[in-house]
Amino acid sequence: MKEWFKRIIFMAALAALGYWGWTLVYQSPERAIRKRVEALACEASFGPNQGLVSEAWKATSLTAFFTTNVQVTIDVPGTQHNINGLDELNTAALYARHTFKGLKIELPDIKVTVEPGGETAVVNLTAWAKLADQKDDYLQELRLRLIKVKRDWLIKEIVTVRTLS
Amino acid sequence: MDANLDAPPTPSWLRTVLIGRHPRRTLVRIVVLVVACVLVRTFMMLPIRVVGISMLPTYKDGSIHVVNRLSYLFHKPQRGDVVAIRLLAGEHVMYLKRIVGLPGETVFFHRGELYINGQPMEEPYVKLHGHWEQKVGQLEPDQYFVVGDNRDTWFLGHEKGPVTRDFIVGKVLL
Repeated sequence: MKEWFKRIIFMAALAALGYWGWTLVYQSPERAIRKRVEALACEASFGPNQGLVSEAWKATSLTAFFTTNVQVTIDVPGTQHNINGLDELNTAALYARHTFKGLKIELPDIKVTVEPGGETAVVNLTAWAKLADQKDDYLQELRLRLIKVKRDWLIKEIVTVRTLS
Repeated sequence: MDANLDAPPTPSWLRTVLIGRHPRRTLVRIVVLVVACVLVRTFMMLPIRVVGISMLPTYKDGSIHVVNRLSYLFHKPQRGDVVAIRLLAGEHVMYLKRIVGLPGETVFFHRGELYINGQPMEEPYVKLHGHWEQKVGQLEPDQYFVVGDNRDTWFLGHEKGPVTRDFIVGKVLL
């Protein structure tokens, strides 16, 4: 291999490493929000045969993702429901863990839009939910509103949305 | 003996099978093939897997199909086209629906039958009939009305409705 080719490869590898390090240290708000939402999906998922303490702990850990006055509006065919505040959300999470044997949430699409000022953001996402004891999967489009509190992005609103309505 | 020492070493059969007699040419071919695949996948053909029963019996649950992204490059979507519709967040999950209403038309369902501008529409692709009742109203100048072929479903649970042109990703080919 010629010397100049080796140098180009080396420089490209160095540049890629530098870029990767830079994105790791200086994370863009979009990337931070995306990771936050993915972590929430991971935290909201649960498997069968969980102990009571584990259930309660995981349900409580969800509250770290939301503001205290979080509002959740579910409006899908056959179901209309509102959740106001962290306490109601926590109760709903515990109820879900008691009712279903397992839940896996995947987010195939996440579209983050940071609003001017950089303190609030809107996230459109597609959620794919698989319940352990049911054959059919559930697809739901959601719109999240987030607010930056210190260095964390917290969810203050979740609304169900539909492309076809 | 001297002549044999000067000649280039013969590549082993395994190396010939794996990377060919000319590794540089093989590398160029691989790069061209990968770039071509990425371009076709990104800008032309999109493979999809059907999940659900809303397009029965035309498209069965679990079947694999291809969406042509360039279908509507030179002409507008037509009535009867089966199209992939992206969601608000992206294209990893899409709806597969049939266009039944064109911009400006009035759409409604009465006793399961589709009416366009007050006239009943013949829909040979609908084999599973229901008893839908819905008045959609007049579509906007850039809206198309899309619905699944399986009308024997719960009316509210069946995803259907007006959608603008920019949400239509392409036409299903196969």
